[in-house]
Amino acid sequence: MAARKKKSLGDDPLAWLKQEAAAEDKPVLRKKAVAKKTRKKASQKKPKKVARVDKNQSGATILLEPVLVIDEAIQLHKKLNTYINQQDDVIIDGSNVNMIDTAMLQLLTAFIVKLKNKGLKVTWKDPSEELISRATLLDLHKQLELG
Amino acid sequence: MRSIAVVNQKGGVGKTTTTANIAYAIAAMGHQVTVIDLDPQGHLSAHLGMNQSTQDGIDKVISGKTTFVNTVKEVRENLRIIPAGSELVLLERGNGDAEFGEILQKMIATDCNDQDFVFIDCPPASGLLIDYALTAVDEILVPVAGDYLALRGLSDLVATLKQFEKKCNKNFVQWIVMTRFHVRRRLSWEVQEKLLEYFTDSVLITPIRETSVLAECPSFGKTAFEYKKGNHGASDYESLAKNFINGECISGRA
Repeated sequence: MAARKKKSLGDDPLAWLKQEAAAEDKPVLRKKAVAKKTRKKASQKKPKKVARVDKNQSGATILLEPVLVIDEAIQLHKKLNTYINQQDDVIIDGSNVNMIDTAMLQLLTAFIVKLKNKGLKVTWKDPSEELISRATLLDLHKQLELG
Repeated sequence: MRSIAVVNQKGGVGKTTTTANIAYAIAAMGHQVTVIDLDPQGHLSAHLGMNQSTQDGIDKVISGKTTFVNTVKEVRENLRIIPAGSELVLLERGNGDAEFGEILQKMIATDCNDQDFVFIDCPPASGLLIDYALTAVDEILVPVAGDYLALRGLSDLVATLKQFEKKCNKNFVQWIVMTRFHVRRRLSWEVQEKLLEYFTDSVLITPIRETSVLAECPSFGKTAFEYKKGNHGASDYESLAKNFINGECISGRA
């Protein structure tokens, strides 16, 4: 099993906000109330969102998150893998993408190629300019069918 | 009309860079934008290519020695600036009057009522000038660099804001933008997570990546958009401008 990654941030200079909110029984900075601290194991820690999926009658719509970089590659790979074995067409919504690196573009390319080899249809919905320009820069726009 | 103070007590986080570039981006979209240089260093004026050595600035406007019309200058299409002025440093040192904040507020309300956005570039301090800016605006935009000391600066700022809001019975709309963001550095992501933990629905979607273009372009009196085509700085600020106009935060506040 991989060793738990050491945190780069030690001290929390904002911790006083939680203490103050708890003492006053008020939300931090008028935003959502501070969640009660619960002990969680490392394996239960919620991973960073990389994509949201909506199921509709014609297949799945995968909504890509704004920032897609290599640090989240494993998570996106797991998410996309769940659709490789299903028999649904896929719509990928790239409208929110503000930042995407080579690793994530390659992951998406591999995903689209696999689905097409299975005879499934993949379409893009509103791919962002950043997504298209990055894909074009790396000459992946054809495989990604970004036009 | 939206009035925003770009503020962080910590220096070097990108307040002036953010003010200049986001103002340019919003102006380029067709909105009317005024920026006010409230930093005695006068860096915003320099960033936009203005030689302010002989200019009257906001220092003289709020102390009543000249008028808004005499000091405001058009620097780009849809974008105008009120420079800092040489006497601003005296106001920072305590020669100012507490009423100057209200004068600034009134100036923005009357002389900028045809504007869509007014940004105030604040100094890296916690003195009178910050008080003036906070009195005058409804919104706060806080650039936070992706490192530990920036979080400490934010912590100090939050304490200042809480005191101010309590004293003046005011509630600011608060926005945070991550600046000097290193995509490959784990610390940057951890800082972002920390911000999302405490400031849910306030962190604007687009982080501004660290790039030499943002450091180089002020020396030419240009924004990132004018300095070099296709650079990350310009594209990030363009996205940020859209996020800011539409209130698009990482957790989806609009």
